[in-house]
Amino acid sequence: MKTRTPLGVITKGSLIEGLEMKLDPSQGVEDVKAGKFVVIEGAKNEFFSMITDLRLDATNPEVLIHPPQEDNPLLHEVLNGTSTYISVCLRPMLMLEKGQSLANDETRPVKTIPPHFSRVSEAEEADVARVFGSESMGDRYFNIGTPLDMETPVCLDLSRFAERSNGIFGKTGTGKSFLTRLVLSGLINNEKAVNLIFDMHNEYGWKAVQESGVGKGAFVKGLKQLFGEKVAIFSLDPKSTRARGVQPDHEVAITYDQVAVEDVIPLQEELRLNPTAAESAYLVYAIYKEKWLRTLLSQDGKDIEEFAKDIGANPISLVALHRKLKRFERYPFFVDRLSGPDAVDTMMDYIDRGIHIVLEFGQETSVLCYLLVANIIARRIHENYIHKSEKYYASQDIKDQPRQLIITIEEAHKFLNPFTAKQTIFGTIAREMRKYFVSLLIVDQRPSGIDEEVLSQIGTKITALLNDEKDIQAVLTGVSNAAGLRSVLASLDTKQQALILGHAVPMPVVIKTRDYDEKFYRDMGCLPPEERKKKTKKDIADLFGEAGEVVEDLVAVGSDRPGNVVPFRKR
Amino acid sequence: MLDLSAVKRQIDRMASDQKRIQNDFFERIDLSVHEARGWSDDWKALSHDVDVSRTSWLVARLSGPPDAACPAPPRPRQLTVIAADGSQIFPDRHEISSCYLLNIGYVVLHYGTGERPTLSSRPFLYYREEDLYEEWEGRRTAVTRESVGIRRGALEFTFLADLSVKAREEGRSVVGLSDGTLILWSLEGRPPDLRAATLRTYLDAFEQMRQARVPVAGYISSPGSADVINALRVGLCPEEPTNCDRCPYKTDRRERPPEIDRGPAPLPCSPIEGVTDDLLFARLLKPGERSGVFRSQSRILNDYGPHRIGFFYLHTGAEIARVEVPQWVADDPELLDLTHACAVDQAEKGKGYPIVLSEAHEKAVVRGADRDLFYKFLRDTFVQNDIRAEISLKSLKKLAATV
Amino acid sequence: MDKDYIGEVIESSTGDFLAECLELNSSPPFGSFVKVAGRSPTIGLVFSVSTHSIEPNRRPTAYGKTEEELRLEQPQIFELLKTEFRALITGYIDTTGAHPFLPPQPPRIHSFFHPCDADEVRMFTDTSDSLRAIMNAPRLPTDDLLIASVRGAWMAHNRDTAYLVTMGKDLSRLIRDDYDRLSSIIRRIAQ
Repeated sequence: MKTRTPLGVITKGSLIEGLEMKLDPSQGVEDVKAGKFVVIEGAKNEFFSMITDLRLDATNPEVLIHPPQEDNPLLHEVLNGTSTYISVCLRPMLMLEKGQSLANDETRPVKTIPPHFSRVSEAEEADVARVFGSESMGDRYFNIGTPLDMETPVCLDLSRFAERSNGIFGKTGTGKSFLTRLVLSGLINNEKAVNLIFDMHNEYGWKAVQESGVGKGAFVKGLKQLFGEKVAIFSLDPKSTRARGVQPDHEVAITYDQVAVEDVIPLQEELRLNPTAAESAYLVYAIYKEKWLRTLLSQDGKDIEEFAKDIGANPISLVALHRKLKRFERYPFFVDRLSGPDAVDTMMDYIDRGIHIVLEFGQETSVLCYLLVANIIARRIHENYIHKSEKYYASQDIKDQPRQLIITIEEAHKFLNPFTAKQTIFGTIAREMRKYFVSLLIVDQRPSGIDEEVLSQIGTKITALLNDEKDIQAVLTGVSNAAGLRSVLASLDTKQQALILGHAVPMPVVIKTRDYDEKFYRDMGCLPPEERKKKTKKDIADLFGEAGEVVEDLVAVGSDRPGNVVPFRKR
Repeated sequence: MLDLSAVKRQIDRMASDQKRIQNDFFERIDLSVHEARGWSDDWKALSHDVDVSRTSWLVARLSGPPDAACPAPPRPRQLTVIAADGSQIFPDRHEISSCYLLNIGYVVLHYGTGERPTLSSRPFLYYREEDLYEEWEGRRTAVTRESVGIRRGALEFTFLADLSVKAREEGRSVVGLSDGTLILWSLEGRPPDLRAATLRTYLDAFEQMRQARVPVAGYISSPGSADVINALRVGLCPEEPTNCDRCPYKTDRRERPPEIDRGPAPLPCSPIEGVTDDLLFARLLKPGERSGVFRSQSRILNDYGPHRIGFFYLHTGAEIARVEVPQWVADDPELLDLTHACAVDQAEKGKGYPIVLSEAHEKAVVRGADRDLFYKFLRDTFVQNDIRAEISLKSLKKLAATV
Repeated sequence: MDKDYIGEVIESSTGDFLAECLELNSSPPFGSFVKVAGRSPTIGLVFSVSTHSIEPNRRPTAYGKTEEELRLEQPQIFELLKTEFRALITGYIDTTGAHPFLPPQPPRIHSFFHPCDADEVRMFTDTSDSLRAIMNAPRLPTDDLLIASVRGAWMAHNRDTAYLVTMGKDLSRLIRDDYDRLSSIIRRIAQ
């Protein structure tokens, strides 16, 4: 193993409060950053740690009162490391016996501390691979970025990631979408779970605009562009989808009968519904069952009061409910009757086949719409999954095992705030963990708005910069050693940096996120057209030999349209 | 810091001055100055008078006007000045064994070249029978302080001559100085063989130096001599020739009634009696100047041959010194000038006394501690060699403290 | 006899020695290292240089002339002066190597000494033990000696800046409580 670069030695500290090291005078303090991944070499163990704080110290207050002048550079150097020195606070996150590797699914919490003057060094490539695994070790590991000031990839354990619900947090503009795209790409590429993505801003399916950084304003590839026929685009607003240059695989429409009362209740805040609205709705439902909404909406203004009396509901509240729900009629995707196959059924079919779904909302970007549709669809899918799971548990036949499904929702605090968490399906899904093979990937900029209980169920958190104290607190709820991580979170770069902690990583780590660029596309198997042609030619030649020329011609016709040809991917 | 040697000389002079002042001195000095000046033109007459006089005191012979004053010639830029001085540890009946030590200090100073000088000393230990006992005129005696002193003086001159000749051979311009008179008064009246033997050493040394053309001079500080005054006294004497044995003025004194006679009646030569030459020349000479050369009539000089001693007085700036030189120096203007210039320069460098002489003295002197050490060495060596030594009770008491 | 020796030890004790220089005014410089010959050569650090009369009762006086003039006209005065120096013993060399602590026996009287060459200086100044010896010794101009010896050692180390910094840091530990003093010393070392 390459020798590590020494940084300093451990001088103070405790198990609870973390350790402190004195920075070697030959190291510049400005090269040492909060969040940096370092290794403490104890006598028997190696402690993989993160730098959480830095402090300037002096042995003698006199030095600070009479600092050395410009004309005395020798004194500067002499004082450095002797009378004046840097203390660096470290938080050990993981402890391994020397020479040992992290075997799968083992956790090694830190139970002791290294002795005085243990050497602290920068982590090396081998250290990163040892702790976080590497893609060469199998497809459960996905390269998500590099540690600070290092080039070695840090891998997310996708198997563990998929086992639980997860969260991607960060204040606005910190690149959550990119992070989400990365993670989804990993899940898709490594086939760890099927994804259903409620794409509120049309960012994930096809093209998206890069907001900042190198290539700002350029378009980046969406999931369908990367993965071709593995990803299907469903659209609530096909016109909008087509206008952006892609043909949706399915146009989604919803009938009024498909809307349940439970779908409406979480919209209370958005619709500013009276608390009694729920009651009223239930009363309507009691009588009309699925047709409750249709029936309610079909009432005219005057008739509603009567209607209310009929069903024994509070007229005022029902009037209000009626008025507010009337808005639904404006949505183009609300239809009386379906003209094609049911969207959810199609979804289930795709899901069973392992095809990932991106549901675009087109121009229907209102929060109300998003909440409503997501609730409706998710509820139905969840019900479906419960059946499937129960069947599987009964038969214990592997063929019956449903595919692990991950549902991605944005603006999660709208779905999962303390009030709605108890009422939406998403709250339920979050609480149930993997019992029914469904989990969530929540993307949000206000984690403090999310119900605490839900947050505590989140397995892995990928957090970009957060400023708000409450948000930071929320993210670090239930995390041991939170004190050190707090300062790290607040010191992240606004772009391309994130802290990952939780189930899918053995220890919290700060990363510079993997670039979402040509190289990434290539890594995901998505080749540029010329290269793809060459590759296809080669593949055909491998497969068909001399007959390949004929096939080639066939290929040439449809080669520019992704999703229509099946290139073999060699693993 | 106090230059003790300089002060000492002055104190001595003060004491003697005091004495003279009591004799109403300044008038006498004035008179002698007047006399000296008076004979300036007619000095030959005085010289003649002196030559034919018979006096009971030492009279200097003139070779020019008595009030002649010669300014100091420039000293050559490069000059080597040599001096040798000696001291002794005398045989002491209180200490172990009879032996004596002579320590000759010698100094060679090079001027104008920047060369390092020689400042050194050499001891000579005398212990053999022939050193401890002398035989003159058939009589054997133990050596005395005086005879050791004479031996010492001779050794000093031997050193002086050897060093001078060596320096001359190196192509240098050299002057040799000695402390004290070159006239060996003390040999007068001593056994002829002793006289001859001692003089031989000195005169050989002088001859060496003459051959090498190195002037040798004796430097006398605070001279108490009155040779020249005495010559002026001859000038005052009305008798011709002056003959003190037949002085008519002395007889008159007997006829004086005792009650009036408070002291000796003044003789014609009395008025300047008591004045010494240095007081006279202090008035006649300016700093740096020398008087004319006078010849000493000391009887021992008859044995000196070509090295008869003449002398001049020199105003060093700090005092009047008497400088004695052999005839061959006095008669050689070049050597005389060299000696004059050197003496003036040396006295100035030495802040009143020739530096070469004081350095030679420092090198020669055996101080109390060295003396004690010398005896200690003697004792220890004798004890080591198991030789019985004589120690007197007196010194036993002295010894107790040191162990 | 050693042709290159520049002086001789005339007083010797465990912690320091007094030596007389062969040539007047040619003492090894203040703050430099000298090696005293012997079976186990001793290393000394010069801390006091003086020139004075060899005889206590004869003291130099002012002449108002330049040295050159005096050499021409009063050459004897230079014979009466000698230059001496005192050196702090900082170590010695024996068959097992260089030792930066006091030798079992002080150097012998009349031993010859030479200035140390660069290799020898480095041998004894690679670590800061001699600095500690300077700090602990009484009755020396401590600060100036520290400055002079560190500068000398720096020269012997080919003006290596890293060496100077290391010595500076060691010094700061020795003078840790008096920052003012440390600061002044470091500033003067670097001048």
